[in-house]
Amino acid sequence: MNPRYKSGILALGAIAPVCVILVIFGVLAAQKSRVTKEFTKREGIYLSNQRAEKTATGVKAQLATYQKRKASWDNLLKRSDVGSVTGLLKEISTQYNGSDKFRQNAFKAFNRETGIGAASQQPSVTYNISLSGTYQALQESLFSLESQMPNLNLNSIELKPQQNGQLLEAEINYSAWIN
Amino acid sequence: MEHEETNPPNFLRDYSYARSLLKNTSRGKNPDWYRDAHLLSNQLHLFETGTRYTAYYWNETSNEWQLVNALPGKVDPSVLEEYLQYLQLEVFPSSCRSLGVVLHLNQEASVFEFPNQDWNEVQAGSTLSELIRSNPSLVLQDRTLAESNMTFRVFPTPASPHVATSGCAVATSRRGEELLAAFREVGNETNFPIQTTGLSSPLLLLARLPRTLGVQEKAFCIMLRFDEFSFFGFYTVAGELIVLRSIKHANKQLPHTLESTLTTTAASVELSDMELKVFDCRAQKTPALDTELGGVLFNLSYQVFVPPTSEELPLPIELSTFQIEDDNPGLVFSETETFGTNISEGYHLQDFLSPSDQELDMLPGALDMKVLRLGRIFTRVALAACLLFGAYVGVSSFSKTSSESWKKGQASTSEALTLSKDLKKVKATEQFLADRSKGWATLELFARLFPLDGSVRFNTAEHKASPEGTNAKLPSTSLVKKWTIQGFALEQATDSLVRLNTQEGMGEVFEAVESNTGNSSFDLSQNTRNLMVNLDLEENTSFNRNAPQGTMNAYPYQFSLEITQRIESGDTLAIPVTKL
Repeated sequence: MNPRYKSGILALGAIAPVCVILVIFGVLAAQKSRVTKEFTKREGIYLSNQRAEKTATGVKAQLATYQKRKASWDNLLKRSDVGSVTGLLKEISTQYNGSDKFRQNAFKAFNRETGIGAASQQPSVTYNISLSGTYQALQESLFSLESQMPNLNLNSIELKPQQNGQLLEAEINYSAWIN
Repeated sequence: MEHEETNPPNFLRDYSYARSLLKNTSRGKNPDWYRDAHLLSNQLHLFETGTRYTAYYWNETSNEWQLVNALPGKVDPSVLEEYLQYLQLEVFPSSCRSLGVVLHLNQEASVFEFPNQDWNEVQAGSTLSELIRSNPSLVLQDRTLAESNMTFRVFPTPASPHVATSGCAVATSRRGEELLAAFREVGNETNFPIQTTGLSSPLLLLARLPRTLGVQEKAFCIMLRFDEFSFFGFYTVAGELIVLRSIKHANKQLPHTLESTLTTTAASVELSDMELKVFDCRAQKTPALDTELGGVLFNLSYQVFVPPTSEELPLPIELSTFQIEDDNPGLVFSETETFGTNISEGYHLQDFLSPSDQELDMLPGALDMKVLRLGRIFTRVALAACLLFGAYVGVSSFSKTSSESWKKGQASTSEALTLSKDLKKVKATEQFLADRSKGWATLELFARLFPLDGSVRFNTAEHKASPEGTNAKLPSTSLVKKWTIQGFALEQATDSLVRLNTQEGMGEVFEAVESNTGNSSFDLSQNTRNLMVNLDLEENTSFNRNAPQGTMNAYPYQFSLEITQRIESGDTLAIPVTKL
């Protein structure tokens, strides 16, 4: 090669075009790669969404069966305070008002987790209830209480006849799930 | 296409000039721009004849010589352009795409012996061939040489007795240099490849004529008789060149000293017996060579050879021997260095009027143009590929970005996730609120354990439900439920008490409780639940037959019944650990 032209031709006629072409190719390849990567991601999300949509239909159907209970459960766990329990017990006592078949002797609430409640990470409180009543009245009152407050878990119950009377004494300990 | 010869090298400007040459001329496509003149398909051979140049045209396809219009001795570019137009219109075939102009230098040729000197010092990295062109005074140690008028080339003499310098310098006049430069310039300006060369006629003929003589029995001397000078080549019997000599003619006459010159030269190279073979190379062969030689050679025997020619078109001897193939191995002396190696290296075809280094430096070479052209082709192809690739990327990107997946796949829709979470939470809530341990069902169990006929009286009844082996890593914890009843029994109740102390008997009670309360914790059919019953039945130590009915002392037996139900962590009623 003519030394006068060699460097110019090699640099500008061969190396520079190759570099420019490589840069163009690089930019295009990067763009393609970026779009492809984003497309793959979005396509995955789209397909996942479609699958989720189908799943959602099934889940909705399942949720529908819980619809009524869910609201009351949420309400129960939110409002399961001492007032609720005492209110219910008062209501039950009212049903036996005027008779000597049922009596609420004592009620204590502890803001600590015991028994079944202590085994779970879900918060709970402890209620100690002391009742007197006939066997039937006691069972009916517990049925009424536990039906309206299914978050009550019986930790213990001690049942014994009254020393001086015809009724039974019941010492009851509950763990109540709360939110 | 101007490119000032005085310009120093400049990176960008030179590249730009080379590019313009590639774009505007055929230098990138026509390889004839870089081939030797004598190798081109169309050749114009010029012979200086007085004040003009006789011209012969040769075409490779027809392989015939044609006498064309002569050129004036002094030629300016405009005259030359007209002459080329004449050739292109009337002489060249339509396929002609280049022209080789060969000027035969038959007016002068001088031979110079190399002096004895330290060649390593003189050459200093350059070859002798390069050095003799650029600085003949130094090589020949003769400062009186008219370098501006003379041009020098090396010619090897393989059989020379001077071992250190087996060669000599041959010089000829630079006359004709301007003509050839003008040809090249016109070629450059008209974008028509014109390659030129100035060949020394004696060197060309010495490479060919001896081979027409056949095998020799003695050493021999070839004498070429030109108008202005005679040229001699002394050969061994094997055909190796020993020495070259030339003698100038006064008034075109052979000198009287010819015989002494020949014998002295022969003696200097130790040739005692040789044959002289003479070729008449003059344009006008008068007076007859035999007559001339007879007047100057008295003791030397000689033979005169008449070169082949045609009656239709008498050709100069340089052209009439044109058909002799230099590299034909069938010719004599092919094995010698003189007619083998040296001819293949082209010593006889050396261009005595080659373009100056400065002129050569101004134009890009064949490889430069090739690289430039390949670079341009590569760039165009690569750009086209880039364009296609870009189009593909564009279309592909457009296709992807306009797809439904692209538009709707930006973010996960949370409905299903939310619903799933809701469902999971509600199921977990359901699990928390399950009938795991209920008081009213426990009272139902107590009521169903014993007959209602008063044969059993319980004293205390207890129930405790407690977790077992709490482990935060597990989703739920086992639950142990224990019922303990202590009381008194009549004789008739003992059978039923004993039956309660069996899995079957207690199982029936649990089944009845489950059936009546709907409380699934009394369902014993699941593998994750087990039941243990323990009855401690013994006589009532304070039994009194006379005690009032229904009092503790009225019962002959007392008992303690312990029922233990274990609900394992895998059970649906196990205590859930994870917070809602």
